[in-house]
Amino acid sequence: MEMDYMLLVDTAVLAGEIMLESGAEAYRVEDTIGYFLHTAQLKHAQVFVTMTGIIATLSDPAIEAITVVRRVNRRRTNLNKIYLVNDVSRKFSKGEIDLKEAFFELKQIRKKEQYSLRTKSLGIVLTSAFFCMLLGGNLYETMLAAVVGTILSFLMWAGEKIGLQGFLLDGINTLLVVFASMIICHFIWLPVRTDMIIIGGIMPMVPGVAITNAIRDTLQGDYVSGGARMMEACMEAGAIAFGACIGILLYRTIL
Amino acid sequence: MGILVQTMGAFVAVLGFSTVMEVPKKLLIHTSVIGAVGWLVYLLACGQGLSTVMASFCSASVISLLSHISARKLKSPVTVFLIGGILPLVPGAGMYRTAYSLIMETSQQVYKNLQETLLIAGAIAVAIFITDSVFRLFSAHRH
Repeated sequence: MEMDYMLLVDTAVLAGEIMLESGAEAYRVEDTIGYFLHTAQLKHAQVFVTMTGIIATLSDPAIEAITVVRRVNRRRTNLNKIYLVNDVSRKFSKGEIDLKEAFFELKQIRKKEQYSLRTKSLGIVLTSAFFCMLLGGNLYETMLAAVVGTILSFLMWAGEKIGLQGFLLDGINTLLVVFASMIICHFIWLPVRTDMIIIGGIMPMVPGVAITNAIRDTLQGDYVSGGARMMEACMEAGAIAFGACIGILLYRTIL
Repeated sequence: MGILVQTMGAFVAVLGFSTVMEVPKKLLIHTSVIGAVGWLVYLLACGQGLSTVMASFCSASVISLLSHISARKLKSPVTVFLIGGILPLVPGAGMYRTAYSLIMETSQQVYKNLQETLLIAGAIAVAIFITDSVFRLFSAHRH
């Protein structure tokens, strides 16, 4: 059977790129790309994925070797895209769709956004409020955490508009969240614990994804990505702590 | 009663966070239930007199176990369930308290808070590690 090898490599790398952008573990991305490439049944199909890029090559005495390098700059957790790519690769492996259809479906996934901005903002508000409750916050504190969550969702929206991302955005957001919470608690006539509210407000930003992926990549023996993820988790946690420090200092200087 | 309210709170919190992480719509409920069950285990473990670190370990084990089972049943990646479910355990509070004590309190407090934060993160890591390994053994046998 003659196969369009170029399209195969393109499809495989596209699948990997979407997964990597969406925050999948590196070993999982390698598995998926490798899966696609091995369907060609050529002599060499090699994939190398780190957190920031993909190298895939397909070669055989019978064809000219194809190598694709893809740098992945933007990363933003989107579990739905990982799920959908996984689905396409599963259907492709079962032979339910052919290569062209797989490529087309992957192209579609690229553009997909599941939840509107409003839903996501509501999500952030709920996360803040209910984490405050889980930590033992009372009714007032929970409500104030919801207010802080609203501020945070606005900040996240604004940060995205400006084009900030990563730990810099988290640091600045934490700074403003901490500062705003302290101001609110300063002026409100209620017996509330400021730290409850602040922690609720910080929860949507904690590096849970980075920690989880760091463990799972390391476990698979992928120390490059595992180590990089560990670094990412530390940087994000550090940014949050640093932002919080500056926020507290700012409040203490002003009031 | 308090435990029931807290479990429901965890459900809503994870639900909210899942929309931020773009969990697929049809798996939202699953992820949130896993998160809520995880938190229930955490509360029960704390009620039995276990330390926060040990309670986090138990809870994270249950969460990753449920995530692996759901992933196999629902034919989807484990991450989808794991990231949302594990969130209530991530030591955000410890991170903030460390930063707070860095400025407002003694270095002894800083050390205590930092240690607790790292230990909880470590406990979660070990729990995920163990469950992953066990399931890898299983799937290796099946092939």
